[in-house]
Amino acid sequence: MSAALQSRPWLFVVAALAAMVVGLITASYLRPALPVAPPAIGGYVLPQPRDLPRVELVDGDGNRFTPADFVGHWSFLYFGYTYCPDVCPLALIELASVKTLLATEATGGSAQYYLVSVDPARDTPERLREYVAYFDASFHALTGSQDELRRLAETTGSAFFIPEGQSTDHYLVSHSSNLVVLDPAGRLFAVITPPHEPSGIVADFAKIVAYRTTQP
Amino acid sequence: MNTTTGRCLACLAAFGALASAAAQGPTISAAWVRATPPGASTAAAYFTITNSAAADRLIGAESPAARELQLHAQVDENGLRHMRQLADIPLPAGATVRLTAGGLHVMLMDIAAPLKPGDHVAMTLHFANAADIELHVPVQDGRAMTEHH
Repeated sequence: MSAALQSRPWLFVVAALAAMVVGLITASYLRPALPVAPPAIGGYVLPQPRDLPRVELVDGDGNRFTPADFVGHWSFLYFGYTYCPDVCPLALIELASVKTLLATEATGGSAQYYLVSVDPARDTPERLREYVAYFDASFHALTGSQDELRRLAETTGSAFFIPEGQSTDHYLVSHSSNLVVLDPAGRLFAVITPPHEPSGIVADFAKIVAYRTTQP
Repeated sequence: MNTTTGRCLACLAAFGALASAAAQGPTISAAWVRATPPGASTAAAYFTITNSAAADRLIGAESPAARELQLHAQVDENGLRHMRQLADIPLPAGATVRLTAGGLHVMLMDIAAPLKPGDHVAMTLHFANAADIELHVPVQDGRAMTEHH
């Protein structure tokens, strides 16, 4: 031990403390960021965003639509049908409110809204286009074969089926009333479950967007 | 009008109110039909039933505006939302039963024509005990209303 430390033992303590501080600061820079847990919402945020299956759909104009068309903006998907007189109009009215509330936001302003038909036998693209436009001129409609729609539904935490014992013309379709949230990479990112309130959806969406910025 | 006549009229009015209350079965308020989006072939009707009499049941409805009217409940089961047809809607004595958006409703199947705000839909409600009630239900634009599940 040097003469200086022998005569002034407190210097040793000072040196040790300084080393500790430097070490802590260095460590905080080197340590990888702790993973941020998905936020709690009225529904769930996927721990890992999920790619959609390569389904072939048809939009309201009768054009081919694939999941690649979801890329570039946040998307909200609702599975419903035009024959549904109660919850489907209600859900689309709520989505129109959500769109109004998000209109001025940088991220939410460019979000797109889709009604995915669970009743391809009766909902033609044209009928769907007119139907969704009634709620908002910018809303999109999607349909496709029963199989393609089912694959999309199953991947996005949604489901639908036609209960048996109904007439072939006048049947009802049972369907989940979830709101599916796709990120701008076109991946399933979150599912918002009912009951839906526009303000609640907007609050959840803000959490979802903030969370995504923490993800690689 | 002299005071005697005035008293008599008040008297009659009071008697009339009592008589109708005693005979009263279910009464309907806040009735509306959702205006239909283009392409829709169905509609939903909502109203509040106040039953100040003995227990009864709403057992059906008819309207010239649709092929068939069904009583429906919106039920959540295994994460799926179903509209379930009901045979009747129970009206306990003294109860108020609300048919509201996202819940109980009367479904109009195969409407004869699109329903526009300002239109009225004639509707007859059938009860297990009480006499039929004839309604003239206004069509309203659901988009302009504040609705709750």
